[in-house]
Amino acid sequence: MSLVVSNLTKRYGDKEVVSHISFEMNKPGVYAFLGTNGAGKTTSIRMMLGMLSKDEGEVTWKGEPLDPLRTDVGYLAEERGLYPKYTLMDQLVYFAKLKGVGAQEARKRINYWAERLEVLEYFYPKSEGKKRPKPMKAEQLSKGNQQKIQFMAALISDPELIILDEPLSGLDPVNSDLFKNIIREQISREKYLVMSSHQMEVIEEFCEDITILHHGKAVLQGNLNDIKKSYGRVNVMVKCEQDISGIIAAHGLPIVSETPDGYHLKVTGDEQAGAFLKSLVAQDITVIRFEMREPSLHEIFVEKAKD
Amino acid sequence: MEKNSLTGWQKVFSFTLIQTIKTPAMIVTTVFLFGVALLMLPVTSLLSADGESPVKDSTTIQRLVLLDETPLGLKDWLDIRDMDYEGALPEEIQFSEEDYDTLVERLTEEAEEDWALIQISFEESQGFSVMGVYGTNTNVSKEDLRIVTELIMENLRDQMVEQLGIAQEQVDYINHEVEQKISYYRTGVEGEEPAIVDQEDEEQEGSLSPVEYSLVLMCLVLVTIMISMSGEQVAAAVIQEKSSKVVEYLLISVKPLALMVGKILAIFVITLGQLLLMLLGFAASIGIYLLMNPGMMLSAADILTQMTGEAGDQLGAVSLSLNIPTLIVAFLLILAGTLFYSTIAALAGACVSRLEEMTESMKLFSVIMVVGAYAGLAVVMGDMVGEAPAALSYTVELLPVTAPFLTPGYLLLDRCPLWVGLATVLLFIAAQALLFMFSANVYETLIYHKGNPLKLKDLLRINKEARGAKE
Repeated sequence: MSLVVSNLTKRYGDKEVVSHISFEMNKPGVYAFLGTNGAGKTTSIRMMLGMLSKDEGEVTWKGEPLDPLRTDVGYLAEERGLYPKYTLMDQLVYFAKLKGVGAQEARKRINYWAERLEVLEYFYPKSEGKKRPKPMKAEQLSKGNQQKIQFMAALISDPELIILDEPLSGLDPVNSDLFKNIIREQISREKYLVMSSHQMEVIEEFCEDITILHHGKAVLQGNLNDIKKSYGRVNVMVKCEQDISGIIAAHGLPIVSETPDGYHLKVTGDEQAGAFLKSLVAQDITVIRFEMREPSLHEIFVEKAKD
Repeated sequence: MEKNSLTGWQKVFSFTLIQTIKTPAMIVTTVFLFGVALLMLPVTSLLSADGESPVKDSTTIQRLVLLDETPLGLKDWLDIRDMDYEGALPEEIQFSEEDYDTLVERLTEEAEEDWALIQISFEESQGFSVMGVYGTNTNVSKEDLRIVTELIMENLRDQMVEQLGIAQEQVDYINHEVEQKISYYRTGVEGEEPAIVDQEDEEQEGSLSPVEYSLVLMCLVLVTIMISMSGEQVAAAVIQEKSSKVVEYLLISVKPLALMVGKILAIFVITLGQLLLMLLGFAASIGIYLLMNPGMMLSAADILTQMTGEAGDQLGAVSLSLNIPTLIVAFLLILAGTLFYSTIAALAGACVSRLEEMTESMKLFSVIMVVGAYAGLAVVMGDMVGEAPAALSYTVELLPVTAPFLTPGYLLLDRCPLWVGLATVLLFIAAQALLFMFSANVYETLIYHKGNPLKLKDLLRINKEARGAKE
């Protein structure tokens, strides 16, 4: 076992904000934390990293209690933070030094990641006229670019365990892709990533195992494919040339949505879906599309996050 | 290498040091303080020199009439041309024996030349007075008349002494105050030889002389400035790290204690540097002052006279204890005091989440510092007028809250034994350890705190909860 989180609990007075969370990461990849705002994702992450004291539970990394002072951990915090008045290079070199990377090596790595994340121009601004350009400070960057600098800080020490709290929130599609490419690269380099996100498509793209938190409790946990399979194929997407509202009503199928692309219906399983398809065929309805699929992570999340 | 709660403080220290030194506000403040120290003596010298008579190549007074209303017969020996003045004097200087009103009337009526009149009079109750008068129908400038009257005022006494055939030494001798002293012959004290004991000296044994008072007060003010500057900067640095949320990233690499220690030490070094620069500036200031006043030997008493306005001969004696152990202990106490107060400031800074709330958060720090400084001042003033109660002196010298303001100065003046200084250092170590333990318990909770500023009772509650969690 590489990363084992067991029975993680945090209380503020009588209120249990994280309640007995447990999960394991046996192999490299991405583990996802999902949850509504205030579900306890960030508190769990802070406890895992030892930044917040835990009332119960244990976090181990390769059999030893996880201590970021001893284990190199990359961390992108949910609350992004940089020194606004200091130059980007100065603060990244400082962060690298705190992680045990020498200043010279740090500069090399900063240049590499700055190029990858397309922020090199902020480290070495071009001169305008005779004036010698000054290195940029964090306060001069847009939020998205500041996020890139913080992502660089998380990766600067080339850590084996990387924890990303909402890494893509607030990014435009172009920069999201930049981040995703780097996350993919880290997965291919056999890194262990723990990620929290609201963006379900991102989780579905990268994560095999998930935990859905709700009010501090794990309401669903396990392998994402297995979870989906356990729900069965309960969604039917159907598009026909004729009006089929009568047939839908006759079968008592709930309509999730009706769009120009057809109906999104809920079925109890393959049997009910088959009976509905037979009715369409029997009534000479021209079927353009009939698709059965498992529930999306979004649907599962919404269902689990409902009170 | 085994890592602990302090691992990484050196990196925090060097980063904070370099970045703080690079900030424009720090550069401006340091240059300003250095400038103030550098210009202090030359500027005060120039300002005080404003009242002195300038040397002028010409004068608007053509005819100067002197009216002697003293019983000394000035006409026979007062000679303005013999006085120490290199500028121009009126062409015609003469004594008149007319009375004042007749003389002024005549001079006004004649009005042939630009005249001025100087009346020198003496009254037993008031002493000598020199009064200058010029007519409005003349071209005499007030400034020129002032120069001559001041010349007479400054030289009258010297020429009088010379005229009376008395040596200056004799005058000084006569002017010395006569003191009354009562002594007694002490016998029968176990272990002591019979001796004459000066009762006045015995009573005044514990008193501070004005120069000692000034020195210890300067030390107190310097320490207060240092603690205040360090505290403000530490609190600002903590709040800045908290409000910019960078602290969350830092906490995966260093423990809060290392973060706090590195920051506090860096700011202490900067404040110490600023203080040393100020002292350097002051030393340069003395140099400039001496260049401006060639031939002048500037003693410590002169500097104190310049700064305190106290007459040189009123300053009294000073016995300094400038040996290495005392200097080291005094420096350690200033360092320990600054660390102690900076730790309180760091906690105060961590109690709020925005820079705008800093004033609110620093209230407790300011109150403790003011109480500490006033306690030190109370002992100093008590010792100035007599002798402060021993219990009060020892308490203030030993307590970590009050000691930095008093003990270093008293150690240097040899008014506090070295063992008291060492005991204070030990007490500081114990107090600092307790404060660090308290900080370690509450700091990480405070770092995530948002919302209203926390009060002391909240800190105590957090500390209790943290200790409970550890147990």
